[in-house]
Amino acid sequence: MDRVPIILDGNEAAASVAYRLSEVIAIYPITPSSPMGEWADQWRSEGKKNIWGAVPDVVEMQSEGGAAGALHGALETGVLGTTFTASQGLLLMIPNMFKIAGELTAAVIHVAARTVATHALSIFGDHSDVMAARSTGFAMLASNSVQEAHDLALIAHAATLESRIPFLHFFDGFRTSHEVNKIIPLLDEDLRAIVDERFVRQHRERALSPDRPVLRGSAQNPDVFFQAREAANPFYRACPQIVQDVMDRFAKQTGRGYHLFDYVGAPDAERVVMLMGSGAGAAGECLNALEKAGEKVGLLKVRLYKPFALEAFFAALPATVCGIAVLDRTKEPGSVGEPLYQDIVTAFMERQAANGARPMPRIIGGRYGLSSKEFTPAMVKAVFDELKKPEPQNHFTIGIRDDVTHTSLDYDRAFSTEDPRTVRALFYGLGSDGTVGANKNSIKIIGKGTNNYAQGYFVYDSKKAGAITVSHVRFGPEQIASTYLISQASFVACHQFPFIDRIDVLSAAEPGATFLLNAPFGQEEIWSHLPRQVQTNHHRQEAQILSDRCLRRGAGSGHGQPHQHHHANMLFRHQRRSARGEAIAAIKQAIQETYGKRGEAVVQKNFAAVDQALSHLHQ
Amino acid sequence: MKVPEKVSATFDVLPPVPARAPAFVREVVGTIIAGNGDALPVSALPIDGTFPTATAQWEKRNIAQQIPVWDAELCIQCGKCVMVCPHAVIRAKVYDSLLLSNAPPTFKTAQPCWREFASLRYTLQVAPEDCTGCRLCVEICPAKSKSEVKHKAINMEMQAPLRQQESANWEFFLSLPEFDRERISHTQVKDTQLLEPLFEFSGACAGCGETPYIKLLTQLFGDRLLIANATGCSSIYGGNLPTTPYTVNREGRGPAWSNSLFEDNAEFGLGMRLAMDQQAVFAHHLLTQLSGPLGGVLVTGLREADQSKEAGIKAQRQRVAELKGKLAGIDSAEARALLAVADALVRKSVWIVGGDGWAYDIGAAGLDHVLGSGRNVNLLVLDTEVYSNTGGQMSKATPRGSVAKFATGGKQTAKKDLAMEAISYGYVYVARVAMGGGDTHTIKAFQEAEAHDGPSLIIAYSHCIAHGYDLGFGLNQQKNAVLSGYWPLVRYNPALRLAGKNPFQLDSKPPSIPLKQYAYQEARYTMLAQSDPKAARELLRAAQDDVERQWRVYSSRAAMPGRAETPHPVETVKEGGEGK
Repeated sequence: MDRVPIILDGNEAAASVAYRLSEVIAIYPITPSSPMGEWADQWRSEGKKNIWGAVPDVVEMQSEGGAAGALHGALETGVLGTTFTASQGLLLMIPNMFKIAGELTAAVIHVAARTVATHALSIFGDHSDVMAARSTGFAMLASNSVQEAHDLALIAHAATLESRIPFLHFFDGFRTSHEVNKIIPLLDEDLRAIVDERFVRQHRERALSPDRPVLRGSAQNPDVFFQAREAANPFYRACPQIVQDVMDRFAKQTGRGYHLFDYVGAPDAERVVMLMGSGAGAAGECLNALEKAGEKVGLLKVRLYKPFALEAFFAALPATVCGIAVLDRTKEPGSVGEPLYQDIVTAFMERQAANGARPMPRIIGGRYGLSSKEFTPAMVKAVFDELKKPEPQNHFTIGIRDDVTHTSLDYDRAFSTEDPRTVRALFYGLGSDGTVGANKNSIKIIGKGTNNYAQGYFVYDSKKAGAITVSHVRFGPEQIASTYLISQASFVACHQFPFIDRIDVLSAAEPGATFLLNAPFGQEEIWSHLPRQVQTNHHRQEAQILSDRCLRRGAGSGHGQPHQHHHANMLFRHQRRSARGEAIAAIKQAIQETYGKRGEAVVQKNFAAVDQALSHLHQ
Repeated sequence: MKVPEKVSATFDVLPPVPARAPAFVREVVGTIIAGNGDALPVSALPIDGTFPTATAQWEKRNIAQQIPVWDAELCIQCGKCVMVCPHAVIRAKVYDSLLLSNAPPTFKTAQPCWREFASLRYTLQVAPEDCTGCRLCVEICPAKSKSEVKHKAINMEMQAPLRQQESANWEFFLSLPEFDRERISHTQVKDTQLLEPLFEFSGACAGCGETPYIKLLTQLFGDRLLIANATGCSSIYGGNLPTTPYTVNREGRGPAWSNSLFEDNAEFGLGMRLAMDQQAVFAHHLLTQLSGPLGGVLVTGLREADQSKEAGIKAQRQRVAELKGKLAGIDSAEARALLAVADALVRKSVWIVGGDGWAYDIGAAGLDHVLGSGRNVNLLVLDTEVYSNTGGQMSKATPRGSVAKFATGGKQTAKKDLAMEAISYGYVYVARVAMGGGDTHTIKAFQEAEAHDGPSLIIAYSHCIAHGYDLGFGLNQQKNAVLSGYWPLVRYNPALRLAGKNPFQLDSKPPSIPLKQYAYQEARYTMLAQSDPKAARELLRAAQDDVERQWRVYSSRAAMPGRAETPHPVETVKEGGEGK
């Protein structure tokens, strides 16, 4: 069956699978995972069914501790269950996770991985939360993109039923959870093909029931606790192969193949970078560039982190490797090294001890991307370069400047892997002025209406009102895995003229970029209202200024959110394949979808704004 | 002593469990009981922590020096001794006299005191090897001999000489059939104590104040019971290896029990409810899909069954059995799926059980949330007013003026009124019970909680060794707690509210003894009077004031008019328009 691509973010991608494969969903909000619970609640209210034809129950609890407790109780009573969380929420689930795993209970927790508060809270993404849960006995499966958040969600749900090991499926908070991308959706028939009904039945039959009562959650003493704890070993041994088998079935069904460890790069690579999560996108782009330049490099993406499959790991890694950089998106102060690094070192040391004949590669570990710190191909290149050195730095950091303990690697900020065929657009707006919503619609229009791929990522500051939003929008003919912000925009739009004095909106413009400025002046006056730095940047980048006076006209049409039309502009300039009339129709359809539930008047105002903007565009 | 040269004993160490016990009990449980658990290999143990129930019956501990002995002549068959027994070692049965033909010679029997069962026989039997010798039964017994001072219908006698004889009697007693549940009242003490307990021989303290409530729960609803148990005393005597007191009836049904954590028990139990409800929804969905091959009569019967009474539940079980038979002959995914969830069509009861440490403190937010969920779960708080399991530390249930660990100078603040917190929701069934202060009241509260289609909370006064007195008098102290007004008996039933009545019922009488007369029977209070008499005096005065204040609040609440007795403003619609 032909699968029509859809546009969504990582949270919706994961939730869409989790919802359809669950019967009880316990939820509690925490950024950046909340939209998963919100989607589930919305779908329930709409009466959307799971693949067995029932509407799942979605229940908000009083904390993540409560959500995990309710999930535990529901699972023990024989239903399929899931929950969504991040950060502190995951920490609160840990006590129950130990029990759920100890009782070999099939379950999936979807995590939009987020920083755990230390010296400060941070709502942004890294792996400090999931790494804190790695001793619970949950299997841990990492998704690196929106498509993967969708695909591996299914693989996790299928594998947990078959293996009886509960799964923590995670993807990076914000960078994946909130990135909008074009994916191939999994249909109900795909879910049915991958989830084996036999294991669903077995899960139900293990239910606690007074009709065939058993006792669980006993208290045990030194005489037998240890032995009973070891009794689950065969399940952990079998788990990796089960996951791979599910992945293979999945590949047959969808054409998208995954492995416990996915290696890309030169088959005879000498230097390899290892990581998990969205950083694989940036690393992949860097790898391609270096390979084209003739370097023998590779990238190993860890998908099934726990149970760690040693054989699969060594099989995935080229035998020629002599230097490995293991990147961890977390920090464990006081440890020998961060967790993935330690696992890899242990893996090699064990092999070395068992078979001393093989030379050990040089292994270094580094930290990157804490709290959604940018992680770019340039940084990955610095890591590959470090491996070339005779004495590479171990326990390095990348992406910051550490002038205290001197852990940081330098990197070349000018190194870029942006595809020239990809349109890169930046939009500066205010929270609640409609910029982000309009951009999401544009991405939908481009992604659905054309063969182009599209990606959107939205950066907010933390003000409750009047926050500055920067939308990073890419689209083009190739799949977009650029998991970092746009620093070389071909199109910059500033929807709020007052930003001009505060933000250098052209700092990320590439030469020849188009600059769309929403100004309260006529075009003859604009230049005199631009500050020196913007004028300088404008000259340097030879940008073209498009201006319009939509604020005035917006007020005139009674419409205060005049941004749809900027997107129309962008579409016409950058996407010439689409005829003007078709684009307008597509925009209006998107407006209808987005604003329809708010009433016809709002829809009509937006339509009017689009029409007026087109007629008042000045170059 | 001089050791003879030859081994001459004619008896040997008893096997840990009898040879007729099930294989797992003999090979694993028995090994642990014998103290050889260390020798068990990994393969002997369950892979996922799942254990069979009905195992405490095999662990004959013989810890009582003295056991109660029944005087059939004197007994009025009130059932109180059966009800208060913490270990379910005194049981009553009514049965056909024909069954007595194989009875051991010392087996005692009496004419039943029920007019309708006059042709049958009645026996009160003690399990000699499982009794802990706590004497609660003797203390509660109201039937006293007129001729012999101190002689009651139950009296303590040395166990050793009676062991063999009474063990045989116990075995015979167990072999007698259970009495028809539908022929007796489920609200009277006397009748309910003919119901089979599915909680027996726990490892709780002799004289435990908690376990009689749990036992009652299993008598009333045991064959449809899911228990979520908070960590604490009740999870230890409930689920500590080697054995569990939860057991099954003759059909193999009984409480399914699990303990998650200390802090999440209410949520854990809510999860059980969510699962049962969701499975029922799913089963109904599948029934509709399969109504063709299954037949409309069966499907309609299953879907529309009235399961508010036990008879209805029994009928539904029969329908489900028929359903399973039919499903076995249908080769489809739906049929297989329905087979896996068919049991959910029979009404199940979820009871969430734990102590005050859970309910008042560590699990308070979860308990509150679950009460607020509106879902049909029942919460039973076994309120010992301290963290009993960890050795008697203060909780927010600890009363003012009593000494507990972490409150060695006496608790300075009053006990939290958990009942009133729960009552504030309006749709939560709430009861404060004390078996020693009102045993029928306790049963009534359990029944009403179970019947309430929404959350219920029962706060059960539970005497405890941490209170510092001979627990043989535990029920007496419960009575004093009620008489002093410290523990008013309360039921808040939302059903009354819907019927236009005041849902708040104060079921005990105004305070008739000072708090001191109750409290100063217990070392938890008197030890402060010894160590710091001035502080003790002041705290007692404040505690007495707490009692009186609480009584004013409760009695005024109980005197409030119901909905039917209060005016209802009606919206006035002016002629000629709907307003702005």
